[in-house]
Amino acid sequence: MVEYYDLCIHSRPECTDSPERLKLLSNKYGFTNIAITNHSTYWQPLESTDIILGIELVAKSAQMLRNLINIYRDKVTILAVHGGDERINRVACSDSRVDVLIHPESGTSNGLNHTLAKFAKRNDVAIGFSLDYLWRHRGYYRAKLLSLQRKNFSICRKFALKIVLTSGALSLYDLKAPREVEALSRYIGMDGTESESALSTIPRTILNKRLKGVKSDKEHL
Amino acid sequence: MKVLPPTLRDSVRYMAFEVISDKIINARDMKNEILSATTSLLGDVGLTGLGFELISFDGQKGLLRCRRSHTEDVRSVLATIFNVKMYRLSVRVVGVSGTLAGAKEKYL
Repeated sequence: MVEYYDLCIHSRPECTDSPERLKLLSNKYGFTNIAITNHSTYWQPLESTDIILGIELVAKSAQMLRNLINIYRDKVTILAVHGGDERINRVACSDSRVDVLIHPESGTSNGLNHTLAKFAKRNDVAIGFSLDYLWRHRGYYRAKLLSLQRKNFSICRKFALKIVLTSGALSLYDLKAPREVEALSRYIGMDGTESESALSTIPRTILNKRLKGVKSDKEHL
Repeated sequence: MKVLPPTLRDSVRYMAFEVISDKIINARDMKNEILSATTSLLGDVGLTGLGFELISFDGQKGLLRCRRSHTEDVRSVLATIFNVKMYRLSVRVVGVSGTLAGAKEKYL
């Protein structure tokens, strides 16, 4: 049986729903586990140990992002970076301590090019495709973001980058089942095997890498 | 008019879905929202291709019919429904069946 993971879910205090409630619903939908990655301004440790703890770093400058990575890397399992700004995307792709660069595209630019793709490949940074705009927006804005994500996906495919699909949920209504996410990812240009691995194999690989790292650190001590 | 022979009929699937919402939604609003979401995502031509028809909806669980080749499109349309009459909701496909009786028995 395939194990599905959603690595970018937001919970209380950033939004109204508790992590436990989101985990319960996601299990019903078919996810094995979820990672709570609140934005860095709302971050706090989780009470439950069953849920994966993560963070989505929001930084205004490259230096600020480096400082935040130094602070949070040892505190969380999944370290994601809130993309959009080209300088932020560059720092995120150049740092091997970053796990996922979420939505590198912004309203006007796709935020990813061949140089950043090579950095991301070298540092093993996954590119996160957040699909929440598909139900939050309609019309031109949605079409624009979809075209930017298509461009990013073609770059990721060309350089064989790791891709992570996520619902980017801000409430339990935003949680989508794996089959729904796979159906929506067809519009980005993904085929069935790519979208399945973006929800199962690749998140599992990232988790294994981080959990193994924690274990080996403890053994070393 | 005579009924078309099976080889000329469209192959259909029956899709059961459930809605998570704080408010009970009536069938007419749900149908209008599905049609609106379809035309927004796929356009009028896309809507024609789906062969969509809402068979039943009781406020929480519903059943719809679509063409077999377009089940994934219907699934993605249902995933893009954000709200009905300003109330947030989430729609999830529970299962797909080849017959109406099968869909009712297994999923409703």
